[in-house]
Amino acid sequence: MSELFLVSIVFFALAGIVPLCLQRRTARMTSGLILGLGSVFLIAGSGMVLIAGTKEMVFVTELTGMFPVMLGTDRLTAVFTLLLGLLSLAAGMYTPGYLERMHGSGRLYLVSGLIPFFLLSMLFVLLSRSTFSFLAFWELMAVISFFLVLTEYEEGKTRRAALFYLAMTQISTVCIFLGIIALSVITGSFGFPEKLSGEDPLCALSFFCLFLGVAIKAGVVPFHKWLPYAHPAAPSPVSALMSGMMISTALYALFRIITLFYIPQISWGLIILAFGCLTAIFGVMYALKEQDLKGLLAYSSIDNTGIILIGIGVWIILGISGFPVIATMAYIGALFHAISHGIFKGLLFMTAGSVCLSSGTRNIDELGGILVRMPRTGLLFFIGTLCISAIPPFNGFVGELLIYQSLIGALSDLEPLFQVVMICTLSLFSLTSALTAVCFVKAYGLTFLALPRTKKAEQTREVTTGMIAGPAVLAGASILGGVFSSQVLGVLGYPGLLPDLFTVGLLLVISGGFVYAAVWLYASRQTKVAITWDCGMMRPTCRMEYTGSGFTEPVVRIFSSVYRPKFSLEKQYLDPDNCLFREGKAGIRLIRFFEEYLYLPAAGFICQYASRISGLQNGSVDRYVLYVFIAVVALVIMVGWSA
Amino acid sequence: MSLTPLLYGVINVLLVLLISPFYLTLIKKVKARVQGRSGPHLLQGYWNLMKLCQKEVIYSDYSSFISRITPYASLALLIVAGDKLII
Repeated sequence: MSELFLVSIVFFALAGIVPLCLQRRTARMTSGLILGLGSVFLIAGSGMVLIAGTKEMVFVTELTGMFPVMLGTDRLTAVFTLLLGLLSLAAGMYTPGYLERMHGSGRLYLVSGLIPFFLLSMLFVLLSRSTFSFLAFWELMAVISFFLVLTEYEEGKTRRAALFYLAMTQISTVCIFLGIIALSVITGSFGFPEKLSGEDPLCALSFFCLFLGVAIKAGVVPFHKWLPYAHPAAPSPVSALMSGMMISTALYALFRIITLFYIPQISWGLIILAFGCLTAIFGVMYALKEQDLKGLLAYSSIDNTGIILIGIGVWIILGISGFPVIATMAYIGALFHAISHGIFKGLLFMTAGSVCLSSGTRNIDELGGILVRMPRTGLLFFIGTLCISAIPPFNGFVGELLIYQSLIGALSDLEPLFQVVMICTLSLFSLTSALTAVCFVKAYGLTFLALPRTKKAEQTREVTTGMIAGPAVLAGASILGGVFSSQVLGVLGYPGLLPDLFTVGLLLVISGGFVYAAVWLYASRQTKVAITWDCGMMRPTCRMEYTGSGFTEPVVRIFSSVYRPKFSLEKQYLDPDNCLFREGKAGIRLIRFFEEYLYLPAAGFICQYASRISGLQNGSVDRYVLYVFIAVVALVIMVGWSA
Repeated sequence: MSLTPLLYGVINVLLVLLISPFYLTLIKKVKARVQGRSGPHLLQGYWNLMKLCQKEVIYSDYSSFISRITPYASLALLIVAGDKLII
């Protein structure tokens, strides 16, 4: 089986090299083809490892005796490589068509070549079996994705987003670096440690360093701020891979750390759970008020990261409190949701990318009426919407259901403190799910339905077949993954966790057919297409439609303590008594809490500190001579003292 | 899997479908009585439904497949939900 992984590694590398070396139009198509082939091998390999459940090494080498590079597979890796395979298959189909319509010439080959290498670096992170190789490939992944974010470097916004991303991802790497050094001090090697006791303070320190590194990369609140800037700034196939796969890679690292490296403590579970709740609720709230279609999807990725963290936290708490079966349910739920989130977020980003590419805008308020113009893309986005809103029998429902069940399952037998924790989590989690549904009603309704709001939206045309086939693969995977979820879990050795969604799907189809037949038989079959009823006044125009801010206004009002909306009103009058109104301005500004209260003060502090330090290093030779003089005098005094 | 629960499910759904127009009229009737009017006939709900079924369907020219499938989908979902309660 390991040969399949090696073959796919070779294919991925080839797909990257071809467009970089041969700068021809066909090279991009060839690259997509090779990438697709490689991902088929990867899917086959991961499927076999998943079913067989074997652990094996794929590739082992050493830089020097101290730094081993080991690649290997086991079930946990195979779950995520399966997701990687699916996403690369979709990206292989989608990317050539997308690049065809993007402007710029040289950079298209660069993007088309870097995407396979980006996928390859993530594959290596997943396959790593030593902490050293994990760190090396993690950094490679960060650097390649930084260049991909920087693709449209002409825009100042993109440059800013990319620099922000680079800074945050470097902090993440530093944290992981510290964690890995602490681990190697404990165990004395760079191999994966196994089951370290969490009571040792050095172990706990290494865990928190690693967790912080992973949290920054996965967009956990309050380290999330780079994500909604960087993910939308990248070209859409790259955003799909970053949101679908890179977040999942970070979560894979968390799964690996917490299941293999340590024996987790109950306090760790509580901390992860707290971060999870915070992330889920803030993620969805910010997603709700976002007007940028891709930004909305990026925020919703943060929300899903939170849901997965909740699952992991519940797993730790219940596992230690002595409910192994329900704890497993939470763990499987978190894992399943990580995979299904990767699939449907890839789908949503790709279809949203098609819409943004063909309309030339990402602002929801400038879109509208796209479904009539892009019916296939609209249908695929609709499937993604159903998945992310956790509608049965799609795959988004399965993971959330398992986490819900595990939250409720052990409620009556837990200690009082944990009962309270579980109930709080449950209520926040339910609120998150409900708000997600609202958020995607907004995303779908305002983008795809009703009338186009601008000329740009009116001139939108359907994209090419490849750009539909890519997301269609993911849509198929979401549907199959949901409908056959209980069978899949049964094959993998976890039967009976779920109700059989295949039956539910079958019943839905049957009763849908029954309803249709009943209406067809008894009701009138005449249909007519006419203009929308206009009350006899005037034909409805797009000015009468709901806007994004109008749609979310009630939610902004209810949660005004979170959003802190500031209303501003300026009026100018013609006369001194303020009777005749001349002109005015009104605005609503939502506070960017984390940016204004956390990031900017931290940045300001660092700047201040740096300017103080830089006072010592001002480049004048006289001053350096003074330093040398002081140092010599100090040395003489010290040496004299000790003698 | 025995067939009895399935049979009960079907009967349940049919009963719900048959009886719900009656309830709608019953509410109207009670409301009317409270306000001192006589209110509609108890079978008015069924007559309304029969008449509405004979009318043609008009779609807006801006409408997409969503507005075409939603009525069927929502009824089908409710039926499955009712079924699930029994099984």
